[in-house]
Amino acid sequence: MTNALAISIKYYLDVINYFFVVYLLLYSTFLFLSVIIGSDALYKKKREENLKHIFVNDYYVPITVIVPAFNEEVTISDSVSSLVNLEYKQYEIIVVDDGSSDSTSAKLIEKFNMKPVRKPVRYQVNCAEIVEIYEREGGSVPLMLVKKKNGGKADALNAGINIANYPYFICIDADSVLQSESLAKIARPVLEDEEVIAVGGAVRPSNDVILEKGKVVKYRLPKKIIPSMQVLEYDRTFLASRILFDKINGAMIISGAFGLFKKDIVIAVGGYNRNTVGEDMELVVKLHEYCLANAIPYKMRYATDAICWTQVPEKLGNLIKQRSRWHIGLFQSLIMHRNIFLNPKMGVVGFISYIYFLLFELLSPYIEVFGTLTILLAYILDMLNVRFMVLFFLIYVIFGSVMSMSSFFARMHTIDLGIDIRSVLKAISLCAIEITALRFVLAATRFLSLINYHRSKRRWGVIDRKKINIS
Amino acid sequence: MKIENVIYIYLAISLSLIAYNIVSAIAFRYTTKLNKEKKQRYKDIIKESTKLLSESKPMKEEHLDYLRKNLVKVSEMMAFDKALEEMEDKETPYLREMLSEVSSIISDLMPAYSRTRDGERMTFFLYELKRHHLLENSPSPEILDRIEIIARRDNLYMRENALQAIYSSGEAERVVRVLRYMDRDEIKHNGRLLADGLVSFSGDKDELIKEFFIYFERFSAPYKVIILNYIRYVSGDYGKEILKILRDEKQDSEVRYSAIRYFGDYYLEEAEPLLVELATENPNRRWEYRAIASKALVRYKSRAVMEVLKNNMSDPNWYVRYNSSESLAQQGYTYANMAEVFDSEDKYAIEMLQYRLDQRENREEERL
Repeated sequence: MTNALAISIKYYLDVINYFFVVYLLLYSTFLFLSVIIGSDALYKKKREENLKHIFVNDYYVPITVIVPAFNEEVTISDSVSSLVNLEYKQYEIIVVDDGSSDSTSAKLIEKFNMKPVRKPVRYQVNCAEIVEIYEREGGSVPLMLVKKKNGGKADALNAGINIANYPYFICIDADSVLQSESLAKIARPVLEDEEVIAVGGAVRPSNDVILEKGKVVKYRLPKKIIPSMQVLEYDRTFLASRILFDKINGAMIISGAFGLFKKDIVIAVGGYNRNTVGEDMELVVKLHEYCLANAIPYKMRYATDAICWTQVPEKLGNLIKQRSRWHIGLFQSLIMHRNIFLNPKMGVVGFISYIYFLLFELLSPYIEVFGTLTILLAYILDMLNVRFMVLFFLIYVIFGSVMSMSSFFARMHTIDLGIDIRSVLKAISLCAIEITALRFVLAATRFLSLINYHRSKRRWGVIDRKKINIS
Repeated sequence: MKIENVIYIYLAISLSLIAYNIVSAIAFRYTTKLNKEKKQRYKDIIKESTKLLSESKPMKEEHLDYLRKNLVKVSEMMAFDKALEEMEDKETPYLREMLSEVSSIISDLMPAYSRTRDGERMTFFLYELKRHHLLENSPSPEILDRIEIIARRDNLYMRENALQAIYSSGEAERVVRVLRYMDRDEIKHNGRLLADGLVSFSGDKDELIKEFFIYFERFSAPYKVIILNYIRYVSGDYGKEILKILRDEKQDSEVRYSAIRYFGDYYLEEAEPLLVELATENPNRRWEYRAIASKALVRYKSRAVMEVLKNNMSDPNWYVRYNSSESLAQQGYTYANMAEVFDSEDKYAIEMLQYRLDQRENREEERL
């Protein structure tokens, strides 16, 4: 190799080196802060609860629970059965069958003795044609079934919004189960502050958890490794990007599995975008834009104690499909709202939240792959400090594992769920594998997802469902 | 700084966090065990005290001293609260009487809970006062005066718990005074919390309502709405007073909407002509009047009402049509009565009314 070439390569590697040091310092600082702040928020919340920072009376705001469903015959009856027994004074349930090819609707009609009605629909937000509407007569909670032509999840949610009678709605996945007090807890921020327009709930993997009458009877880590690792990942992520951003009113995502929204403002922004698979994030970003552009005082909150149990993929193939879809949704949302980026009018969202999601979520798989290739190049050219790399990798694993474990323990200590020692030991032993192997697989998945973008941009894919453990 | 040093910093952070997690887990287990023991101690006191009360004997002075000495600490009060909850769940007899005796030590506990700046402890203390009805037996005016001041503070839960404590005192004048101060100071407190919270007022509701009417015009519009909502929740005896408010066109629209809603819950013959008029199209008036009046007219069955509701089926506003159809269906009109609507070309009116009548039929079938 000529001298000049060697110098150029060394210079290149030095630049890359500095880039990665800064990148990783920023990311690990963010992770550290989020775990500390997130854990502190959880402990503070627990203390507040113990000190009765709760409402003595049963205050409430009327809520519509919208359940979009597509081929959910396995879980839909159990899911709706749990929903009709929530401890909440005034709410209604609307299940939207988005053109299922299985017996999703038939199961509901039979179970709840529903009858067809000619209910007029006010199309305030765009959705595909509604074909039939069924209502249950009797029962303490109004229950409706809307059958419509297939249009995707966003479209189904919009249909639900068009039918909803109440000023607030929550969207919940058809395979999810709420705890009996979850509605009351997610509604609480709205009662605390009338400026709150959206509240995110806490989503937890329900695999192998047993629920009875809206209460967790038995909690343990899932038996299978893949969902177990997702438990750790969910705990870390919710502390990281949810609680931390909640503190600065910079939340850019409220999970589609469980989120509460003020209906009139969602209608004002046109409802959910039907041209994206990341409709949950896209809606939240739109709400920020709308409120800031129109000088509407607003807040978005995260209710750490409003828990929704949802099934997570147990097979790697399904997990890959899911994460691929999430990454495409993220890409679509960030592109659609790129005007937010460094826009002074967008405040915290434009300067902090958007940059975080751009650098550490969207671009991270590319940066990581690029980094790996650079390490390979340096090794081939005998320019790699192997000892340093090994040390670095070890610290990366230890640091990441400790963050995961801290999040996990913060969660365990602050929710009233007993967990057996076996699950704790399993969590400790899995956290290093989650940080390395699973993260590598998911990084590769996200790397490839945008390559297949044009093919998969509007498809949800099919994920295998398991019956929910509720009695 | 050398890169290796950064790595060692992260190693140090990781080890510190590991140590922190281990210490927290141990501390968590230890406090859980300690709290269990405290709770059991209080349960023993409660059991013994209720037994004495069942024999018409007073509580032991040593128990009251123990409570007086220990309940100044938040952790002890929490344990006491949990013990009480468990005893309540088991429906322990004479618990209420025991709490009546315990209420004698409130003034001794109050200073300890007033001390902190952020009000966490006071919020908790106020919650306990309300939860266990400790203010219902001739509470001392000094304690209530103090709580009144707390009700105007910044912390939402402290304010809410203070209000609840004041409601449980049963003093109408005090309740109205607190709300007047909150209104004057523009303290933001969710209207729903206020209106719904007032329902738990333990004193004479008519006395409270009369007190509200004395000061009604001095309240701002949002507070007037809260007062009217509260009256609607608890009493149908104030139709004439509320009709006067509804007739007053100088009142804020939201106040008049609230007044209209009152007549949807309680029938007053004299209100009908005005409700019909408000339900009628008027280009100088907001659509909300028509919509809310159409709903309120459900209780007023007459030819004039039927005509205005039928006309409203062709209203361009969705809510007007929706509420009018609901009132017509609930008043028992049949398809024959509504022939005019069904024979018209107004697809939206037909659809809306059809739905309501179908709904009514389904309900009747279900009942049979």
